Amino acid sequence: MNFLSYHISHRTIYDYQSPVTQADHIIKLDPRADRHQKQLRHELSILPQPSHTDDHVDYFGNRTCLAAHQTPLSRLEIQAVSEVAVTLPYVPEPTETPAWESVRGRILTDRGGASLEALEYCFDSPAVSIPPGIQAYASQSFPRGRPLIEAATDLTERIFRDFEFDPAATTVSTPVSEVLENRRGVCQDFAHFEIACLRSLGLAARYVSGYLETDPPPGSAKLIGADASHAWVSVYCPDMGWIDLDPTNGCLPTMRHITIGWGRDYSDICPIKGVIVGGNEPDLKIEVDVICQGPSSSAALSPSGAPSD
Amino acid sequence: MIREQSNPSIFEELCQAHTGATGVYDEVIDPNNLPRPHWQALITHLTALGRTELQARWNDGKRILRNHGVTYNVAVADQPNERPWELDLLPFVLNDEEWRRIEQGVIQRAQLLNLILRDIYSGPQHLLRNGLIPPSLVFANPSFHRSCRGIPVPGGTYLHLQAVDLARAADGNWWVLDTHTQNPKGVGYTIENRTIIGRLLSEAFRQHETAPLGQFFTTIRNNLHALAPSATAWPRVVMLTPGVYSQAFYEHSLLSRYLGCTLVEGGDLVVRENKVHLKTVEGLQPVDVIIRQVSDAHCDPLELREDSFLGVPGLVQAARAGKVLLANALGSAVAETPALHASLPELARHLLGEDLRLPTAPTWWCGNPAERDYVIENLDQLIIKNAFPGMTKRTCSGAELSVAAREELSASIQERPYEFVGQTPIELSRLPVWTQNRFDVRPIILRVYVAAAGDSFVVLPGGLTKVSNSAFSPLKGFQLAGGSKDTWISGRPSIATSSKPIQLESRPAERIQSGVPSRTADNFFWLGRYSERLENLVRILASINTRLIEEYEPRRYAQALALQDILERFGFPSSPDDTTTHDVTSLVLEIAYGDTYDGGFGSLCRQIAALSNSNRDRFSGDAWKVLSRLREAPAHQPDRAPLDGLQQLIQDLKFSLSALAGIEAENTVRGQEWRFLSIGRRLERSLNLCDFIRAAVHHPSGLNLVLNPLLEVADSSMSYRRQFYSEPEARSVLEALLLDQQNPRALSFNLQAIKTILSQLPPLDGGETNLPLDQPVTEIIDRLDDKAVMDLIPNEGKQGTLKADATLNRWQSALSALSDSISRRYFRLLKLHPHPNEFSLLPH
Repeated sequence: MNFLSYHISHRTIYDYQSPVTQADHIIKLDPRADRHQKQLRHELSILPQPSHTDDHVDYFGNRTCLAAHQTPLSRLEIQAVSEVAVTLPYVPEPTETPAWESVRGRILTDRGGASLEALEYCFDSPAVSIPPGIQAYASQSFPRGRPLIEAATDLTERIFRDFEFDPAATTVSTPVSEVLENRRGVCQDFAHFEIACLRSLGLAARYVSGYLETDPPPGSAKLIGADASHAWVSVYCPDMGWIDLDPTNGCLPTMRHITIGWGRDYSDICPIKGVIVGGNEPDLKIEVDVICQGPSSSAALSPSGAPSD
Repeated sequence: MIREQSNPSIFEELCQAHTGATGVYDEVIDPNNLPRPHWQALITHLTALGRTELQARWNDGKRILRNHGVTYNVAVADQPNERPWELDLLPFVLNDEEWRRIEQGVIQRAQLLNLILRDIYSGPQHLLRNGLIPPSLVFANPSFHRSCRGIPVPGGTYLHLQAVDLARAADGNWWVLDTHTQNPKGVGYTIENRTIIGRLLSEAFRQHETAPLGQFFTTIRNNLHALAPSATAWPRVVMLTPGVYSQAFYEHSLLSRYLGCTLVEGGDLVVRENKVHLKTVEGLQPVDVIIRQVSDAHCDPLELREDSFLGVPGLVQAARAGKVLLANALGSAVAETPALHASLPELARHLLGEDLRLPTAPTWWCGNPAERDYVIENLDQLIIKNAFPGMTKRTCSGAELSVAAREELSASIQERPYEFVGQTPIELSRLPVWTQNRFDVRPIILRVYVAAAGDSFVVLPGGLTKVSNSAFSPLKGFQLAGGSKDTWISGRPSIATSSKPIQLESRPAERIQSGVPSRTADNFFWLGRYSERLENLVRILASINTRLIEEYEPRRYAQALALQDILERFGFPSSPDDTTTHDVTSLVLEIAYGDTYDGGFGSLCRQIAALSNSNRDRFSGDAWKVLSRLREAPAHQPDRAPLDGLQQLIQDLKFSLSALAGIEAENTVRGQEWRFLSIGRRLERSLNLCDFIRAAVHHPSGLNLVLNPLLEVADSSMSYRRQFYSEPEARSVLEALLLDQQNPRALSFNLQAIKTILSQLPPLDGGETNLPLDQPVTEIIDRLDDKAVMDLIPNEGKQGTLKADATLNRWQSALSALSDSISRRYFRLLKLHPHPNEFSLLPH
């Protein structure tokens, strides 16, 4: 199998306007192993040194670090450096996947491990509820008997076409209903929206947190810290497993998508979440670098993000 | 005692009150119109008492209830809105034989639910894999908390206390309506009900050989001690309450006293190295057990609901690390899922190898297609409820819905079937209640409590009987609102112990004294300050008002006007804004009854009420009565003769404040709470005295005009007259109020008292290297002499007031510095908590 290796640096800096007397953070930046991904190295550094840290694997299988600071802080820096090897994800021939209604039936009736696990991703979750109108939008891609992945790919492309990328339009807590109404947002919003679409039909959909390697604009060199974290969706297909879909780029993920982990929605796999005392309105800076190091034979993405193949 | 001749006897009346209707079970009277045997003794007793005596006793009961201040909260916006607890005179009597059946059924159910939680949260989820619990019943359930899976639970005991709501159907069988596994309410009120009814009907209580309640609470406490994850012999147990605004705050304060644990709020706790600590005036102290009254979702903003300020960041991790026992375990709410009821009979056979002894009212979960269809077809005969706990309440009776509403409901069920259950309504049994000299019959629900005891469970031999407000079945089931009854298990004078009670040794004395929570100390400090501030204001207004209502005398009236100016110094300017100017009369009335001024009677009384409320568990019954009078005092402005009304109000407030000070002096242990209360009071008194003198010195008419009022406000007129036999004169008045070491109103006395108490405060923690706390006080005391007094008396010209200002400034800034360093040293830990204004959730 053909692997590409990536070096990823994800640096988050909080500058507080007044001292923070106590801080507790949950950090989920440790890229997990998957069918198409191996982790080669991962290092998390936190400055200043936390008073206490704990590691555990969360309910969804993501490695999680809890860091507590008990001495006053004016600045907090969290940096994750990871190396991963990525191969092209398995994607079944869309027309050969089962009809979507039969998938819904099997999730409910199968007692097997994978389907039971999939059921976890079929219902409302903290950040994704299903507002009226979602099912109507989704159904256009899901006529009776259509193969699951063919329908899901169509849905993904429609979202890419119908919705505008607009970082100013939403916040981390924008509900799906608002995304449906305004039809704009960022990767997190489109992922939540597609998850709501799939769940409204009784399908299992999860939220994937990760990175996407990007190219600089034509003619210029790649800038340090110019990448960003990314998010997409995964849909469950019995016997075939979870198939990723990227509604922000209207494509199936490629070798340029690197997975950190997944959950029901953003709230389960948010990279850094914290509770602090003091420090009102911190200045936040995030620098992400995704650098491909290894055999460079992958298909390129155009700057707009549309797949070239 | 006069027996009513023409009126029917109590017994006859009970028979008349008998419903007689078929299809309803009457708890007291059997179908042949005869009292059921286990009611006989009580009825005989009531009949012998007669209605006059009954009513008299009941009036006593209501008075006791009022005096105990038994309430529950109905929160309106942010304001706690206290309602008196309602209790009926007539208890609910159950015989022991029947009770044993209930008891066994409730214990079996408790075991079953505990095993289900164990499988869902720490086991291999067999029950989901083999379909005994439909998996979507867990996954679609908002009360299944993912972050709680895998948390070790000491002894495998998830449920330390549960409640089960029971109803008796027409055929006499008991059915379960609901179970409460998260933080069941009401068990504290059973104690209160028993205290009152057991006293009012003590003869019948004894004749019935009624089972006592106390052992149950000892069992809870012993069980928690036995399971506490700590090597220490005396684990620290706290009860976590959402605070004064929660519906059951009164109960929390009562129960924490009964269980012998410290009542705390989220802000009192902090997690360090995965260990929960209590913030006390002696620093952080480890906590081993938390009895929580905060719902699962609100316990930890880091790993549960992030918008909650009621919990403690890091609590989930502390539990995950096995460093704290939470009772009930985090995530327990999932066991009260109504949709689970449908699966219980099969689960009992599978997990316990037994049939379910106490059935649930027939329940259909719409998450299964066949059951959904049944519910939709029979909507008009069912009660429709949420399938899951923690959802917005929308219980309704299908029969009572209009056709349109029923269609709408059925569409909602079609759309999200797994969110609904249908339940067959149970026609509730009836019990008489004593209302205004006669009996009415009402439907009742019996709430039974069950606690973990080692490997098994024990049931409180009694319970909370809830009476519906109307003659019809209460659809919404159990609520704190509405009437309640004491519940007597007859024929069982001592508890039949299905557990071996562990003997509780007495605690070492120093352990009880140590560790007053910082918040409590802070509250007491400010309670001292505010009650003294109120007294000062009451006394100033008294001096003015006396002069306004007496016969006019020019010098006395001038004094009133001077006091009006002095009030400005205390934050009550006569012209609070551009458009208003108060004359002296309207100023005092506004301070007493209005809300223009921040520090008027009303706002001070509210502050005192709020401070005492949140530490209700630490006041004696007498202290509470006095505080209740204080908080209610300035509520109404009298209609006529406002100044006479004000005089009355001033008298009332003076009495209440004296009573409070008396309790503080003679009925309070000199513990940490008392020390902070007392420092607060003496500090405030000293500051007020300085403020008054400063205002007087600067007054255009001079110090001499207000010497009499000054003595009045400092409550020292009598002692002065005894000493000097003359009209007040500046130097001797100031000497009396500043230097007298025998007068508790004098500066010197108060500073000495503060100094003594400071030396008794707990030593510093964390190696703070400030100067000794008492240094500012010592500096004033050292230079408090005749010369200092002379400095305060203005000479001719400007020079005099400059000297006075310098002296007063020095004193006041030293006292303020002391107040600050007490806050910094003993209350600083309180700042270590997310507060709505300071708290941030960070985006990635």
